[in-house]
Order: sequence, then structure tokens, then C-alpha cells
Amino acid sequence: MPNILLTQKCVRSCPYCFAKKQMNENDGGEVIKWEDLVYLADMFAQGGCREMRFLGGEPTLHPQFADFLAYSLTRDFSVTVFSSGIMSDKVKEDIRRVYKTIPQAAKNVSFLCNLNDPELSPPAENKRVEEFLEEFGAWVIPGFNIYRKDFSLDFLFRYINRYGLKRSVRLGLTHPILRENNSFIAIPDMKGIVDRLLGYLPQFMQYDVTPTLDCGFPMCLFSDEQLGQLYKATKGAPKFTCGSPVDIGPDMTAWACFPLSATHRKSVYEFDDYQKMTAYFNSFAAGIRQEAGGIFKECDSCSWRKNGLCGGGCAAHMLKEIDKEGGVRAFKI
Amino acid sequence: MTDNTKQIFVVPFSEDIIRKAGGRTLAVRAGDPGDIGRIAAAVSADRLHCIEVAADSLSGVRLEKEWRRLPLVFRLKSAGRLLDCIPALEDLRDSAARFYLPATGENITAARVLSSLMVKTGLILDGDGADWDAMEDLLVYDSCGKVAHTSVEPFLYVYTEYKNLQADYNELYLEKEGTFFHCDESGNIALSRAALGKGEFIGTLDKADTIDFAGFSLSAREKRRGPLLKFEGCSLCPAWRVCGFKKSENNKLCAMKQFMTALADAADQVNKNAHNNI
Repeated sequence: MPNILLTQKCVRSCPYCFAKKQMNENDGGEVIKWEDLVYLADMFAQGGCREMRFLGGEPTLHPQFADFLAYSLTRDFSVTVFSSGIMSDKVKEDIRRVYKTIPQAAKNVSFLCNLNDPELSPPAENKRVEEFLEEFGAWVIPGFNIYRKDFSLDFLFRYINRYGLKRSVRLGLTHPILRENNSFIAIPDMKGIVDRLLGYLPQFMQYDVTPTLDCGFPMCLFSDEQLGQLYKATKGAPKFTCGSPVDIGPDMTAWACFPLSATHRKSVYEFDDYQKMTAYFNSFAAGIRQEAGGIFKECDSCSWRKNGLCGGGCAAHMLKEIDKEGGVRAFKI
Repeated sequence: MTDNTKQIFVVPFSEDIIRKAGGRTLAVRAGDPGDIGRIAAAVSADRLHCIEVAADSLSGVRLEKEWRRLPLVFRLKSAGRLLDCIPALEDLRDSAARFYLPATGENITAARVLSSLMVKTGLILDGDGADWDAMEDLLVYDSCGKVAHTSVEPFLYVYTEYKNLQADYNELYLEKEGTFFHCDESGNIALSRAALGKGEFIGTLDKADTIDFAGFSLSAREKRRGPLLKFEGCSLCPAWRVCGFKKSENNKLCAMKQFMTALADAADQVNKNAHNNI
């Protein structure tokens, strides 16, 4: 599913930021144009994709954010907005209008808010996030990116219950970005992260909140007992494979996903259609996995990986290792 | 497309003018959208070419259900904000109305957005500040787009009317001299919108029977051929097939050349594709 970066500007500076590379490469002034949004809507519609995913930076900073939202809904797309929840009163007023004037908005718009632990965030930022959740909570899917070994999820349950957020949490592991210096969970620390995460399963069950694991969790980090618990908590088989998203920047450059964004970038206009674009980036991600196996040595002979149950962890770790071997090799996959 | 012997009178709306026009075909200018219903009641459908309405912005346009089949032509200054148009979008899509905007960069973008939302739009090419590069880009979208959208004028007109390898889109804007005669509130008749503005009249509506309209039509046709009879300027430009010699008075290759050539080529291709069932 492609993500469209409406703008590179952001209101936060998270240490793990996946978009750091893009933010560092330009001043953030570039925003996606109407013509390009129409082009993408046509491309997606023709390819049978009926979902728009608006990312940033902070996508609500785009001057036409609400109009883009209205446009996409009117063209029968569902829209997921990846937002911090920090936005001006004017933007909130526009969002209210979208929900009020477009009946399908209530069903087809959701905000995936990557929430940071309020204990580690500035109070002014927390206040604005909570104001957003207070008003739009019913459409908010909370998300949390794990970038520290001592993370806490208590605040998520508090937010979900207090503001009536959707009862599902997207949990992401932070990954390295090739040739960038972001905070991420190192491979040896992953087992500890998984154990700490599963320590919260009783609360997930108690509050009827479904944890959704984002890509990059290797299956072997979970014991059979933990997998059983996870199966119950996620209400079905959890996935340990990579969804191979495609990110599209404001200048219509596409790349496989943020952690892999240093290489294999192409203009959307180079592809004849949606299928060819996704096939190209899927093939790149598959090439890395073929080259490196997985993030552990054992991945090479792992039957779960061979059977497609596990992706062997995030390809960004593998690409980083390949890059150490020779500066140009990562770009030749 | 109108035939060469037909005359259409572009008149402001007043009961008196409509009465004076007798059974002639009319394009009626509504001073206010509130006049639309009264015009439809006063002029029978068979002699109503269109109702032209001036308005500031599309976001302010609200269409009544009973106007759905009327040939409404809105001349707007801008499209306004999409979010403001949303409450009326269904009505805008369902109606036969077409919304014309000056061909500035911002309006060309708006035409693309609205066309992809199935709202019928058009761009007015003659105003100052037309962005020809953006027009050419929109032309590619309009003629080659793989997803259904409404066609933008004048593209649709040129594709449809590109007979004998030429089409004069000026007819779309009620500007084809010899076919459209422009009248003021007093019933004075002029050969063009510009002549009407300058007060250059050829007669009055109440004495219209004494005016040789066929003669004016013939001389307008001769005038249109004029630039092609000199071995310079427009006659050497491939754009003449569709441009209507709008800039021929300068006798220079004009800024429209590249876009108009592309438009003629697109019309050629669209017609070939239709012929070959592509």
C-alpha cells in the first residue's frame, strides 16, 4: 500500500524518526501538488488500490490538507492520515467540516497517531495531542514506535480509555536508516523488547485492545508460549513478514520504505502503472532478503523464513550490513 | 456545432429584449443566478442556445434541481476552495452546466481537479495571463488519461468538431463572428463582444428584419480566411487548424502556437483512435 508524503515538514523531532533522511535532504519546503495528487489517485484507482495513506513530516501541515482529504473521499478512497495529532485550530476546523459535509468520512477516514510517551515529551506537545484525541479520538488508531529498551505502554491504555480511541495499537520497532544516524533498536536488544512487550499482554486482554505488530519483528524472538499468547491477543495469527509499502515523496520520487530510502529511488512517472511500481519495490526488498537471508545467521536455514511465515526481520538491518561490505553494493541489489 | 447560416443572439435578460428578439435563437446573459428560472420560463427550450451566468467562484454556486437539464454556462473568476464546493458537488455533477474559468495556472489546476471529480469545466483562453505550458500538460491528461473524467473545454469541442482537419473553438465562447450577434440592454446589436463594448452597432433588435445577417456571416467567413491568404505569420503556423486566428492581428507567431499545435494534434489522434476503435 503506497504512502504519500504530503510534506516533509514536521512539528516534532523524534530521535527515531524514519523520515530523517528525507527531512535532512531538503528544507521541508516542498509539498505535494494538486496535479500530482490527481495523478496518484488515477494511478491507484486504475490499479485497484482504494486507499490513500497521507504521511509527512506532519501531513496536516500541507496547506491543502483538508481539501486533499475531501478530494480523496469524494473519489471513493478511504484515507489513513499518519499524524502526530499536533495541528492548528484552523486545520481542526477543516477536519470537522470534512466529517460534517462528507457522509462517508466517518467510515473512511482514520488517523494513525504515533504517540510518544508523555513522560518523555514536552508538556505543551502533550496538551495539543490530548486536545486532538479529545475531539477526534473515535477515529484515532494509536501507534507507538519502540526505540528504547525501557519503554512503557501504560499511557496508551490510559489514552485509549480516556479518549475512546480505536481499540487497536500499531506497535513498531524502530529500524536503522542507511547512512543516517537515527535511534533504533539494535538486534541483540530485540529479545528483551519482545519480552517487555509481551509483559503488557494482560493489559491488552483486560482492556480488549488488539496489539498489531508492524513489520520487522522476527518470529524466532517469541517462544511457543508467547506465540500462543500473542495469537489470542491479536485475535488471529500475528504476521512476521514485511508488507513492502512504497513511499512517495512530495516531488513524486518513490522508494521502498523509509528505512530503505537511501537507494533504489525512482520517479513515479517512470512506471506505467501501479502494479509495475509495487512490483519493482517488492523485487528490491526481496533481493535484499535473498542476498542477506535475515538479520540472524540462523535465518539462512530457517524453515519459517523459507515457508513465508517470517521475513527474517527488517531488511534495513540487512542493508546496513551489506553496505559495510562495500559502499556501492547496497545500490546494486 | 452551429451551421454557418444560423444566427444566435447573445442578449442580456429582460422581458422586453426577449419579446423584441421574437423567435430568434438566444444565448441569454443572466445578471444574477436568480434570473435562471425566469429565463427558462421566458425562452422556450428549442430557441435557447444557453444561459450565461457570471459569478465570482464555483464555491458560491448553488444549483436548483429543476435547472439540471438547462444549458447553463457559468463564467467564473476562480474555482475557490474544494472544501467549499463539496456541499453542492452532487448537484454540480448531475447538471448539464459547464463552469468556465480564465486559463491561469491556478484555474488550470482547478479544472483538472474538478474534471477528475466529474464536474464539467472549461477554460477561457483569451484572457491575459494564460499559462500555455500548464494548458499543454492538462491537454495530455485530458486526451491520454486512463481513468474516467469529464473532458475540459475547449478540448472536447475541438476533438468533436475537428472536421476537415480544423475546428474553431471560438464558437464555444459565443465569439464566432457571423454566428453570434451581441446585444445590449437597449437592443443594440454588435458583431462581437468587443464591438459591443466599444458601442459599434449594426442595428437594433426591433428592426432586425432589415439587417442582412447572412451578409455579415459571409464576410466573417472571408475575414477568417484572410490570414491564410498571406505567405507569412498564421498561414505558416500549424496551429491555425484550431486557434481561430485570435492573435492574427499581430501577424506574428504567438505564444499560443505550441499549445494550439498540440491541441490540433491531440484532436487528430483522438479522431484516429475513434476511427480505429482504439
